[in-house]
Amino acid sequence: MTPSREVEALLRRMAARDRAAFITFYRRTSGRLFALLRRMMPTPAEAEAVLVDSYLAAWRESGRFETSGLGPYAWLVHLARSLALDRLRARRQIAPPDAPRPPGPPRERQRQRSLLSFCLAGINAEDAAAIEAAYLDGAGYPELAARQGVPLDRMRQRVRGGLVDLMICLRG
Amino acid sequence: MTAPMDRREEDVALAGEYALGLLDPAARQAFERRLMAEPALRRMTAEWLEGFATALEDLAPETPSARIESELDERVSALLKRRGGFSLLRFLAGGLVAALLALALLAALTVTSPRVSAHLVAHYQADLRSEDGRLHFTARFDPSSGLMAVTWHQGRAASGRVLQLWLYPRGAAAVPVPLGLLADRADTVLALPPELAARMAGGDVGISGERAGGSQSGFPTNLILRATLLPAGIFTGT
Repeated sequence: MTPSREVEALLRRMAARDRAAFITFYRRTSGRLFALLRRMMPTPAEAEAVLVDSYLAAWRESGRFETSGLGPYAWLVHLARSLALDRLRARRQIAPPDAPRPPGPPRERQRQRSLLSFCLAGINAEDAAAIEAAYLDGAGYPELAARQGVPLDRMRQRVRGGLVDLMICLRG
Repeated sequence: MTAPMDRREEDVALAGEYALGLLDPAARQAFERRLMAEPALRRMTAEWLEGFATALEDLAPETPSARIESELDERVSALLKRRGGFSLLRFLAGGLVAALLALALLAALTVTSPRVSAHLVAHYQADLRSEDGRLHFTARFDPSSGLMAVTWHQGRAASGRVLQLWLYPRGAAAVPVPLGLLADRADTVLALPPELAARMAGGDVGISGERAGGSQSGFPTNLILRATLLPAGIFTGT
């Protein structure tokens, strides 16, 4: 990925309304963000729609980045996931309950090099699978419970316990 | 893990659920209210967002269609040409409020002083109450964060209608500006563009009854309540 400092500099130029910086920002960051949105959204068209909304919001909100307390990738992903989850929630209201989707494509072992992957590998496997599906697929509790074949309360307990264990590792 | 969680672990889990998007609307709203008041919770939420975002390193990049870049370039050019509050408000009204709010809440991360935090949404305030007391809201606006918090006390829209919040900037010629739709029998927090902050002081806020989706004309259809945004000290005596 492009180093954070370069992306931060692009965001600052965007805040100063630099359109060229915006296009460079898009080119540097959209590949992996789009991969995430493809996993979260049911169709490629919806993933592209969220991608467009996300970058327009990033342009609009770039002035707030400096005070967010987040790094540029976490800032952008938080924004995009908020938009994606909003759409997914609206869909669920129209057609509840969630039909369990197949899990996302398996990631190649050598590609699993992130801190999150490292820490997920160290906690209970079912907890980790649920947390990963919630983050990468945008799955809600009903869908997670259906995937793992457990009652909703048990699913919630599993995720919450997993999160406490996960944070211990993330904090190193 | 079967042992009951202590309070700190509860918050770790809750902030993680929020960052994952797992909370139901009521729990999410309650958590966001806490976020505005508790710097430690904001820091914890930021920790989660940073930790989760590292997952992107594991994903193989995918190339969106080439027309996306052209579309973005065109739309940003158009935004630059018609810079100003109105276009930004249209942007806000375009369904992006949730994302903007998510960012605005985290923007408060840098607010570490409890004194500042306690006054995060208390610079200007308006009490919106109908004469018969059946409808009652308090609107608070903080220019530094751009957050408008509308506290629900009593009442709801007529059947089939929604309540919409408006700004009436100071000045006889100023036209009302739509700020957003209010939640049904719940508090609402809106993230407003910085350009609007300067127009808030001394202006009025109003609440109108509208069809689902809000006013189509750009003007309030049935104005129900209106009150002036005054410095919050007038209300609290501080």
